[in-house]
This record gives sequence, structure tokens and C-alpha cells, in this order.
Amino acid sequence: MTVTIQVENHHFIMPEQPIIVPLGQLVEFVVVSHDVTYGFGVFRKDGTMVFQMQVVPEYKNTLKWVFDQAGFYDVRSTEYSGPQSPFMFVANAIEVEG
Amino acid sequence: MMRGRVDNLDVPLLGMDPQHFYAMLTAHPFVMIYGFAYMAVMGAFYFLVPYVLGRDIYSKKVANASFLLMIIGVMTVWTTTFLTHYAPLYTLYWPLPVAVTTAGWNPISILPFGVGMILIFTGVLAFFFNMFGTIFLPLRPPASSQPKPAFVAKELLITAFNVDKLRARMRGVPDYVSKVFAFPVFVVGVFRGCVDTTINAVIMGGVGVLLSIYGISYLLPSMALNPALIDPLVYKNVFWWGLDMIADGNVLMFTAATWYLIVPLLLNRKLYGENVVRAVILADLLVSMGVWGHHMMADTPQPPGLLIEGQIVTWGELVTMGLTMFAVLMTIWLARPVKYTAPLKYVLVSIMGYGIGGTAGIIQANYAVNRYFHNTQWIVGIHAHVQLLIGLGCTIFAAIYALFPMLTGKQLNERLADIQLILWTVGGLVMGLGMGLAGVAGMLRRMLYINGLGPFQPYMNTALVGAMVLASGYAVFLINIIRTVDFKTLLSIFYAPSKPSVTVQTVTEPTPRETAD
Repeated sequence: MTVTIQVENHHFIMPEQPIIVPLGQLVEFVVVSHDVTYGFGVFRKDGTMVFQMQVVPEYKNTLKWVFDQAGFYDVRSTEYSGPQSPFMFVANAIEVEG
Repeated sequence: MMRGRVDNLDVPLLGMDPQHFYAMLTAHPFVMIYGFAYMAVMGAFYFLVPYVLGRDIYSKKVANASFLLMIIGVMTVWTTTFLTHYAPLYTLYWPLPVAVTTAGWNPISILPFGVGMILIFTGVLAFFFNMFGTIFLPLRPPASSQPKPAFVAKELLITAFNVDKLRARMRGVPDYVSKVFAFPVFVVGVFRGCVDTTINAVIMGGVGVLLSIYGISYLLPSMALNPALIDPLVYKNVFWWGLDMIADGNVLMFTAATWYLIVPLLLNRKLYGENVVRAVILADLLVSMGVWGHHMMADTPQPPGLLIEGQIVTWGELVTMGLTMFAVLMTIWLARPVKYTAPLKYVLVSIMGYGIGGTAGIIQANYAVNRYFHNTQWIVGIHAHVQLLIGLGCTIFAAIYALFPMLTGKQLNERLADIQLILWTVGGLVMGLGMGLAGVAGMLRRMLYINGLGPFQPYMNTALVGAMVLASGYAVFLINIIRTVDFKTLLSIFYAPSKPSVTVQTVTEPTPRETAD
């Protein structure tokens, strides 16, 4: 399964809200920025990190992951991209079902 | 102040908005690195290198120029961020520094920031020029047919890479002593560190030029340059290659050189394993040229070969820094019983700091581990700040405490030095540990958790307490300086004509030795 996310003007443009991902299956995240470098980080509801990667503008930034716990996950930018960075947070962005 | 803001303390002045916070976060490393660490190192080496070689500084004018360039450059960068809240941060990832629309920068802030960087790194290049001239010039005259720059370059490369010894071996010359042994190991370390320093200055100065060019173009809207002219991944690689010449280059090499001078002087004993140490200084050249890749491990478009190279070459630092620490500790061990004066205590704590921060660095420079630790509080806490504050910071203080009597004829108070050491070390370690554990829990660096810190709150509270203890240690240091020298004397360095406090004996060129030429 491939999930493509665009990032522009300090906003994550999700294909759907939430992104439904199957438990225990390989998911490829492809994140593309159209202006500056961001980060793509997935976090549990308690704030702890699952994984992250840099999002270099105009490159395809890909990461493959297998979720081993069902539930909701948040997405936050993990790279500074200006004073608006702290607001780049999408609650319940991913739902892992299974 | 920044620690308080990260801790979400609800008090006046600390409740600054993100723009203000990130402007401070931009200025902070520039001021600490180039306003504190570099100035201290330059000051120490401008005195020590001529003193150890028995020569005069190559150019006093250039030395004074580098002093002013550094101060004006740092203040220009600081003032720009203070007045305009320009906040691209120290990493200056392209195209963020010029993304006026996306990031909301005031376009007029880019040019002065770039000019400030140019001034700083011109000052650094002036320092390298002076070190090169003092250490390596004058040479015996070249053959009449050979142009002087080519001759100088040839002599430098032959000396640096021991080519003369290799030639002597091949010709069967008995008991040949390499040309490089005409230079004390401290001087070899300083010059080797200057190589990294110069490369860094060229790269960072180049970024300053780039910002200045874009800044000028933005002042004329019809001429505004497109940020897409520069590939962000290529830029990031070049930038980190240059920046790591400080972080994994001259910081370690200048520290090592300082240890190699201070410890034998204090103990009146030759450095243990000097021949091996000289080889390590050269080997570190290969390490520092290839380590930048450990900053790119979270960039998935990065070629896999460079990711692997970055990890493996970083392991080389375990060898080079490990051998350095071993040589210094063995020198101290073999000198027992030892009187632990302030400089020696600070050197020992510095070694501990590099041990902790360096170990954290090796852990995070693993491709898999970095997937988690990248850009977290671990990186900047238990690694970078422990390395810089306890490691580098204590070496700088060791040099200051050792040199102060030589330069001023006065002794700094040992009791205050001990109090400073305890507060500085405990504070720095507590802060670093608090940040490190927050990073293990997944707290990001450079992030304001505006809706609350949640599980990270206890760690940030701990880091805040550590920072306050650290700052009080520095206050004790300032008290020690001012009590010893008095405030009026300190101010006079900015307006009084300089008078040498130490008479340096000028010597002629070294006696010719048997050479392989």
C-alpha cells in the first residue's frame, strides 16, 4: 500500500482524513514538499515517536513501515521550517485497523 | 530564556511568540560558537603558537583585523535576528533562509545576515592565514627557477604527509628525522585543525555570499532570484560537509592540541605515545573529510552509499579520539603523584565530557537508530551540548586558567575555579541528561509544544534546573576574572593600544638538518 502526502505552505495535504492503514502490512509513505524542507513524523497518542524522515523539497521522500499496534496516530513535522513549524500537527492523521 | 520558553513557563519575557524564540535560537549558536568558542581559541593560539615556536606572530595587523571582524560579524548576525526576527536557524537548510513568502521573513533581513556571516568567516580565514604564516613561514629560499607559492605548497605537503621520511627510508638514510618533528605536537595539532577551520570558513562564508546575493536581489523585486536555482539535497550535503569541519573536525583537533600542550607542561613530562599521536593527527584528516554523512541519515533521497560511508567513517572518531584520550590519561597516570591544579582538573572533566557526548554521538550515527533519534532532544542535549559545554568548554577554561598567569602575571582564584567547575559540570550534565531522556521519549528539538509538553514536562523541568546551575557556574567564572583583573582593565582591551605582556624571542630559521632531498 502506498500513501502519498503533499506538503506546502506548512500544511500536510492528506489524501484522506484519517488515512486508513491495515495492521501488520507494509505501507509505503511518499511525502513531497513543494517549498521548503519539512519533516514527516508519526507519533502515538501519548506523544512518543514511531518513526520519522526528512522531506526534502522537490524530491520523493519515501519510508516503508509495518504498524504492529492498532489505533490512531498523529503526524507532526519533525524539521524546522520557520516559526510556523509548531503548528504543523495533524491529530488522528492515521488509523491502523486490524 | 530559551529553556524557560521550551518549558512553557508562564512568566513575562519568557512567554515569547515562536518568531521571537526561533530568532534567539538562530543567534544562539552563532554567538556561542563564533563569539565565545572561536574567540577563546583564537586568543589562546595567537599567544601560544608564537610563544611555543619562539617566533613573533606573522602579522599583528591581521590578528587585530580578525579580532574586529569576528566581533562585528557576530554582532551583525545577532542584531539582524534581534531586530527583524529573521530565524533560519544555524543549519540554514535551503531554501528556508530565502523563503520570504513561505516563512514570512522580512526581505531586508537576509542581506545583513549574509554580510555578518561573511565578516565572521573572513575573520576566521585571517586567523588561518596568520597561523600558516607564523608556523610555516619563512622557509629556506626556493631554488631560483621555482616560483615561491609552488615551493611553499610543495614543502607544506611534503612536511604534512611525511614524504621526506618515506624518501629517506627508500634511500636507506639512517636515523632520519622527519621535517615535521621540527614542529611541536601542539603546533602540528593546531595547524591540522586549521585545515578543517579553513574549509568550514569557505563553505559557511560561501553561504553568507549566497544569502547576500539573494538578499540584494530581493531588494529589487524585479530582480528577485529563484531559490530553485540551488538543489536542496546537494546544498545540504555540501553544507554539512563544511559544517562538520567544526563539529567533527576542528573542535576535536584543537581540543587535542590543547591537551597535548597543557598536560605535559603542567606535569613536566613528555606526552605519552607522541609518535602515535602524530600519526593519529594525520589519520583524522581522512575521518573529518568523510563524516558529514551522519547528518543525512534521515534524508531518504540520499544515495545509500553515502549513508553507509557516513556511518562507517564516523566510527573512525572512536579510534582517533579514543587514542587521544588514552595518550593524555597515560601521561597523567605515569606522572603520579600529581598536583591537581585548576587546568588539570578542567582537562580531566573535559575528557569525561567528550566520553559521554562522543558515545551518544556514535549511538545516534547508526542508520537505524538515527531513524528515531534524528532531530530529537537527544541529539542536541546529551550529544551536542554535553560535547560542547563539558568537552570543549572545559578545555577552553583549562587553557584560560593555565594561560592567565602567563599573560597577566596574576593568578585566578583556585577556590572559585573549583566552584565554577562543579556548577558548570553538574549543570551541563543535568541539562544534557534531561534533554537526552526527553529525546528517548521522542521529544523533538527546535519544537515548541504549544499545547503542553505532556510526558516531556519532567525532563524539560530537569533541563531548566540544569541550565540555571550551568549559568551560575559561568557567573562564578566572570566574578573570578573581574576580581582578579578588575573591570576597568577588561574594558581597556577595546581602546588601549596593545602592549606585549610577554617578550617573545625572535629566532632565525632552524639549523639545517640532514634531508632526503
